[in-house]
Amino acid sequence: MNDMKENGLKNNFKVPENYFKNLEDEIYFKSLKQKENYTTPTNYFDDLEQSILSKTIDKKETKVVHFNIWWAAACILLLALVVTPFVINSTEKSTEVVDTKTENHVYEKIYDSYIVSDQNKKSSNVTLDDSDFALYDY
Amino acid sequence: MDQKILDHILDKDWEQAFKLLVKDYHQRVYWQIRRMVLIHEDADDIAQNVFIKIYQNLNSFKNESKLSTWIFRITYNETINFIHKNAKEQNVSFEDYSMNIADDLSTDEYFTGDEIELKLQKAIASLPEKQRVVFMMKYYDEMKYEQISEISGTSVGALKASYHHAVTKIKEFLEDED
Repeated sequence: MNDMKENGLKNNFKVPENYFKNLEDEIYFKSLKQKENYTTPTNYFDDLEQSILSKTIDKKETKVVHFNIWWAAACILLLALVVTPFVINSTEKSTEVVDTKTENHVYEKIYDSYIVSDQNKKSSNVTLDDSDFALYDY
Repeated sequence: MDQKILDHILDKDWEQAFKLLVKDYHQRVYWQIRRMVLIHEDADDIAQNVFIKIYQNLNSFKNESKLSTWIFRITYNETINFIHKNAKEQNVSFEDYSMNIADDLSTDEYFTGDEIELKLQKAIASLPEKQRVVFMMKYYDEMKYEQISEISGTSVGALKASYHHAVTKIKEFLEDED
């Protein structure tokens, strides 16, 4: 090297700016970085991979039906319009049935009362005249 | 492996692309997060969120940047957002939040460093966001400035300055602690 200086030759090699300062820092920090100091639970990375896939590709998608209140109201109204006539008809029929049954019951009671009263009359030895029978003359 | 993933993306075979991506990147993503948030449980939560985001946006990957850069950009954003959110909830600064976590490392079952390594983690945790990010990516992940620039959205010049400041602060911190 001294020979080079004596001969007027100079060092033609250059280094980047702050190279030696950075090199010093690099060596300093590399001496600190001995090993990985953070650990994970046993088999963590296998579990992580599976967990990620289960939340993405393997996730079973549930179909979400968006609730639209106007559609719901329209459906309810339509249902009411369709069903109501049937409900009304069935209500009328049952009323008719009840009335017929009641009517028959009343007729039977009336008829029985006449029969009973006739039997009572017979048993009491009351003589029936023609005017009595006239009521039954149809 | 990246090329295989890209081939599946080009074929719109999202499932196969994602499976390979998860297999190849889940550990790298996890460690990048873990070194920032320090706690395993937090890193686990963030890592899963990162991959869910990747899955949801895989069809929008345009191959304009490297796949790894795109993945680490999502990782970086999710991690930084997590720290900011928690710091805000606790009403502390980004640095103070990280320092508080680092102070508890000695009792963390998933930290096995010695006293010097513990001091180093505290020193790193005391750095502002940009300095910390560039230091972590260069020191631990040995990334080039250009890739860090793409991930963080910070210019190479600013990154170099941040790294220089980070190194100086860490050395001062370690010397003060001694």
